[in-house]
Amino acid sequence: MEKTVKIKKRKKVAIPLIIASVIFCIYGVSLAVPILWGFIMSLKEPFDYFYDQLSFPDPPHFENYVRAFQELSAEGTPLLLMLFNSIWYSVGGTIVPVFACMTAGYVCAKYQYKICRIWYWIALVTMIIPVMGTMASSLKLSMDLGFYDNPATLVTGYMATGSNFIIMYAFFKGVDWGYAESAFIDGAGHARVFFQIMLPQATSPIIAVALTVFISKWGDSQGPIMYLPHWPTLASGFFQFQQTAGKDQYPIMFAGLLMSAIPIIILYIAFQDKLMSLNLGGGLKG
Amino acid sequence: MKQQETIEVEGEVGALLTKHGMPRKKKKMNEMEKKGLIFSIVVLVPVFITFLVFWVGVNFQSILLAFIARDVETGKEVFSLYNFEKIIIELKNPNSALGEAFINTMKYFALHLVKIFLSVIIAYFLYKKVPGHIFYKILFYLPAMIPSMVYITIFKEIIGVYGPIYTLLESVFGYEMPALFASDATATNTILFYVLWSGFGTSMLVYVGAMNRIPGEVIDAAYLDGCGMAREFFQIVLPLIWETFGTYFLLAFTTIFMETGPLLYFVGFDRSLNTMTINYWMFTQVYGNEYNMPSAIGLFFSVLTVPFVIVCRYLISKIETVTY
Repeated sequence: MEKTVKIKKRKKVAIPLIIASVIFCIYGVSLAVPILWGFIMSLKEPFDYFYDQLSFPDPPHFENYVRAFQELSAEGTPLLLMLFNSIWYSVGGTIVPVFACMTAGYVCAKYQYKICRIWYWIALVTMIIPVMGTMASSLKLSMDLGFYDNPATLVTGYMATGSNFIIMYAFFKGVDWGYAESAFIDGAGHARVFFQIMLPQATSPIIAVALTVFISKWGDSQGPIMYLPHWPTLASGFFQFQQTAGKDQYPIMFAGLLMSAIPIIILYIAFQDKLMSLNLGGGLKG
Repeated sequence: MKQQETIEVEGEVGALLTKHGMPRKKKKMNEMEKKGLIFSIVVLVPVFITFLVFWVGVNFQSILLAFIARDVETGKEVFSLYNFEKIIIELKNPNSALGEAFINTMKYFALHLVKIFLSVIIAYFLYKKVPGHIFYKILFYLPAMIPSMVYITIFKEIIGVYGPIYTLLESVFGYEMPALFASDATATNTILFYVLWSGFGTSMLVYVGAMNRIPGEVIDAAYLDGCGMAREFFQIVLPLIWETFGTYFLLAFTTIFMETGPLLYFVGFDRSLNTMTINYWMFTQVYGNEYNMPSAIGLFFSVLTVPFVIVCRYLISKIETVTY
């Protein structure tokens, strides 16, 4: 009986799934081809690229990847320094808000004190009510507080609001409080319960949230252009370089651009399963 | 759990009175509850401080900036409604920079809604384990994973004059592809195409994650009852992931005027093309050290969006969610 059901099921769903698979295949290839083309072009002789953007490089110039480190710079900042800036900007820009969201999300989900409820509603209201156009005043405030063009600007990201807070809140809401009660009986304190019992259970959503924040920070160029003009990251540095680059510099620029994507690709491959644990459901209900 | 109940009861007005109407004595917190309160305060106080400084403070200053304009005669900064009058005049003229930015923003918003629906459909097929689904998940996430700067630079070169597509079309069909970034209409449409083409990554993964949490027995039972794929999608899967779907839908309304798109990488600070959105227009203004007009526009559109968001949230909450 089981066999019959399985065979029938396969026949019934096969056609729509195959059609979908064909469409997905075309779409997926269209997404992959630009990156592949960029890689092939990054191996071209600069003038060869200028005249022919369809042929394969003959011979491939892998030295373009070394030349990228030597020749690419943004306002006097070499590629290696841009990479360093990208690392601290992305790592710091991830740790600060993710720590804020996971701690605040936890206390709001698990404690019913007034301060927790107040913060939950603040986070919810700021997420739902759109506020825009604050770029000018936040830039002015950054200048007034001495955060402008200063790595200390990362502190301004210590905000437990938005969808990341909701994701953490929704996750901790679903964690059984019985674990904590047992630990309290054994003499554990609240901080210990959080760090040693609750946090290890939340590694999947924390990694997922951290990964999405890190990816957005790594590719963010508006932030560094506006708030850290003399600390170009790879994203903002390449933007500045591109404004003045000639066509003959494109193969080297492609080499640099593709290298800048490597850390993200490695992180994604390592943690792609964790991204599936992103869950917004339930968080907005209160 | 005990501490949660205690505090909740104290918070209710009715619980402060006994059944005879006499004031009830407040239940004292035990040692553990006090420590819990201290822990919560330690966690939330820094969050409150940054919120007060960088949200309340920033917004307060933004409101003040919105009402400041430079007096043409004296050159001094004065409080006035001039910025708002200028916004209304500009919005009435669809050919003004702001009017065109508004129209473009609406196009992005419409596209955003299309993306939400397409993402959930793509996610459904991935959830149904379409042949090659693991491979597709990686491919579809590529544009979200690889920095926009990389993708857009390559994309621009591919579609550019004398680029590979141009060369292919010319050599095979003898068709000379026009420069897509030479006119307003094709420039905006090209960017919109890019936004749609590359925009399914993160939301698709979130939807697949939500669908994977649907109990298998529900889907099996539906199948045994003869439920087809379309019915399964609309009557089972969509209601079960409604909270996730609704949240994305609500966020689309919340961020309606916050769309910058990938304009920085496509057009930079070039204002010869009418590709601006409201938010990107503000960014270029602030970058050029103009603070008052962007603040006024921000305030104007924030106020304009609130009713839409409230209505949308109300409508979403009216749809019954299924718990499982």
